[in-house]
Amino acid sequence: MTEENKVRIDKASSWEEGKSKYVTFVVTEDCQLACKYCYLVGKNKSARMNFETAKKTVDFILNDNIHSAEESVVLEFIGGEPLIEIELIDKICDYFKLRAYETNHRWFNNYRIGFTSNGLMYSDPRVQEFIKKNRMHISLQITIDGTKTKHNMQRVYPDGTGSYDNVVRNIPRWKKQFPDTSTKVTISSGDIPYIKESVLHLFSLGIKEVNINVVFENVWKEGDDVLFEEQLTGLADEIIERKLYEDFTCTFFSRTIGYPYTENVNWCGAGKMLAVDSRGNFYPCIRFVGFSLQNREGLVLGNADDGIDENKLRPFLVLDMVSQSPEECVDCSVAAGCAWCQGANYDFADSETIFQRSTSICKMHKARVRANNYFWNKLGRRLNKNLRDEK
Amino acid sequence: MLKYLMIILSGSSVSFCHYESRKTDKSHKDLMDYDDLKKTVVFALKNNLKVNVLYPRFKPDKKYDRLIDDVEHVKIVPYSLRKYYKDSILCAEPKDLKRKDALNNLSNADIILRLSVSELKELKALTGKLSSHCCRINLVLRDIENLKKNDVNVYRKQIEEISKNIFAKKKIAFPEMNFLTDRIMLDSMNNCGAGVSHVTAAPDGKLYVCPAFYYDGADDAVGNIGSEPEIRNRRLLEIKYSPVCRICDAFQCRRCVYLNKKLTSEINIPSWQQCKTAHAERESSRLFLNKLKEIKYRGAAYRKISEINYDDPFEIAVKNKFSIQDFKYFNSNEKRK
Amino acid sequence: MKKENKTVVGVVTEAERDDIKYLFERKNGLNELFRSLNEPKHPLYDRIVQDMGETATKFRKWWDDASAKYEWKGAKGHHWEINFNTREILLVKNQ
Repeated sequence: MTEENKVRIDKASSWEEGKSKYVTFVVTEDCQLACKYCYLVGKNKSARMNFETAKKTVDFILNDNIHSAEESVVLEFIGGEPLIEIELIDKICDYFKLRAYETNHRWFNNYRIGFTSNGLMYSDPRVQEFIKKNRMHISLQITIDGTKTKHNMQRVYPDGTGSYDNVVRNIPRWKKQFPDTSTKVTISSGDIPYIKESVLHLFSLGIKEVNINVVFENVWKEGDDVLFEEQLTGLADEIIERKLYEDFTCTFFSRTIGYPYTENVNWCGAGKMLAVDSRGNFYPCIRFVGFSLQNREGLVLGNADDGIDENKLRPFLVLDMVSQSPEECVDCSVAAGCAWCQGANYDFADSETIFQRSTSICKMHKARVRANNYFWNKLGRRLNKNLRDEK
Repeated sequence: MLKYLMIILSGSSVSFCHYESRKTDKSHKDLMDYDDLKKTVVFALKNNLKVNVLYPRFKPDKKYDRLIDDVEHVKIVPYSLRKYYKDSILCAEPKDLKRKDALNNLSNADIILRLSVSELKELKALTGKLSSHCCRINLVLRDIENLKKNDVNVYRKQIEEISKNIFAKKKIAFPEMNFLTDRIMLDSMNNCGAGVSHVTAAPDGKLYVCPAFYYDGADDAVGNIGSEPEIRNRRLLEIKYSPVCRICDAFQCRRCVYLNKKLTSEINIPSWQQCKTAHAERESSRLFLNKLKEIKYRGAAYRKISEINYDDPFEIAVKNKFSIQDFKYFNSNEKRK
Repeated sequence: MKKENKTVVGVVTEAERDDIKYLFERKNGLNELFRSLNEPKHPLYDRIVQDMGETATKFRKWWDDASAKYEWKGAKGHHWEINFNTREILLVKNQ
């Protein structure tokens, strides 16, 4: 019996929770799509990472015991659309494995390879070969926004055509290869009326975990919060009535949100991660790379040749909730779970700082908390359990 | 709350801190417009502010001095002009002090000594030369951004040597020295206060957080002369909003927000250079105080600097996050340690 | 809240969990590195092949020793799995 022992691989986003170093390779700034909500405002076809830059980065992280002291590592590949550069990614992963093995690095026994993809190239033979080759270490998330209508509203080709059909045809294979994987859904103002049907649609495709969040940009209109709350309450009813909670999760509903803050911690992991762009520059995360920013230059921490500038990293390592939040957020009675993105904060701050938290989603968070309370209280009554008082 | 204004009288005004002014310009063309100076003086008078004036290497027209005399002020002048401006703060660099006549016209002086990192090893000698002619020596490492980790040891050794020299003499006498005696006298933070207790009026007619931001060349103005400054995210200049400084007790630290911005990109986060030099000073001050206590020096028994096991409060800030309660009830003037 | 068609048949210690987790990761790492080499003449080829053999042996030995020590319930057509987070040993029907 022992020869057949199997262990389920956790998805990269929760693997070794909080103990891993995340190294993000921005292998390309190109993408087949032109999604309307995409934060990558400066996508282009010219910025492509070369193998030498990637090798230097791998050597750097394997040799750097100060900033890479974590027990494990997640090599994340991002773009643009990362699968466009699958051959380069394959070479990078091979180089990492080989160097980690040669140098007896602890990460050889503790690494993962993560992707977030638009899914268009999923069935490409080169992608499939890569998956086969690295099967036990890969986490691959495909982004589908929900129903065809909702998906095609945002996730479009440059000519405006929707991408839904070309993505969904790859879902059965993806589901088979990564049965426990999840999808990521982003909600902007125009998407609100479609939330309920979109999440239910994703469940119907067999996607068991739907990671969903509202955009951090200030796009919200008067009344969006009311509509948002209605959608989530309707979704809560469906999940409860159809007992979907037994097999599926939607991250809009969480038992840990909607309480006052008890700890002074930063929401975002920027600075503990490392992103490297096609020129070999290091950033606190992809949201600080130039092509992600609307109003500011990229925030460079260093590069593979010179290493990381300790001084530039210091703000990120001491950044906490109280130092960046307005007083009303510190005192907010439903604060827990109210997210922020450090890169978006930096981009939209009144001065060039990461210490000014954007409060664009305040009303949306409060609406979410009310719907979340509704969900857990109602479900608790049905199951005869107290599901709301657990912090 | 604003307490005073800095006035850069000319683009070639003497530098007194971690920045370089335009030294080569000795002409009057870079002088602050007389009307702007007048507006600044009026603003100071109306808002109960004192004024610190940074003078150039030349003597401006007398009407400037007359205008400045209308308001309570301190003149900060190049060392070479010491005979013209009695009771002013003098800015000196090693080359000024190597001249034959370096100690002429020098009595009970208040000196800002600007050294480069490469000149650190001269600190003991320069301090020795100045000691008996000064009431205060304020050291500034003019290019602190070039400091390497080993330079911190050089700095500490120099301060230790200065301390040794003081005790080697029969009669203990020494001027105030920011790097050795300030911390002994302080119970709470006493930093530069740029943007909080003072702002700077510059020759371009604009206000800046401090003179360094004017010379930096970036578009960092916070208003126009004669009007209230408007500093975006001003709260970040307060200690409460610096996760590193609010747990620190190197009270004598300059806490230069310009250096913060330049080196860490954040106005509220100090560089390791700032923290480690401040802690070298703190530790030297602690040992110096202990020696003063040993010889029962007047007042020393009432002062205390505790021993600590770190040389950069950043390490502590990373490990132990401030609690929400501690933040809410934080008082920067509270006696700590 | 997900339904799991698995039965818990035991729990191992943290140290035991760490041992098998290490071996599991190393085994997978070696297998996938081996796929990357693609040629027997590679200077690391022999070292990796030997390492793979040794790791597989240690891996099997862990399961043999632990199952003998704890006497977990087994069943025909089933296998054991370990949940690294909870340290639980699960009896799972073969698919």
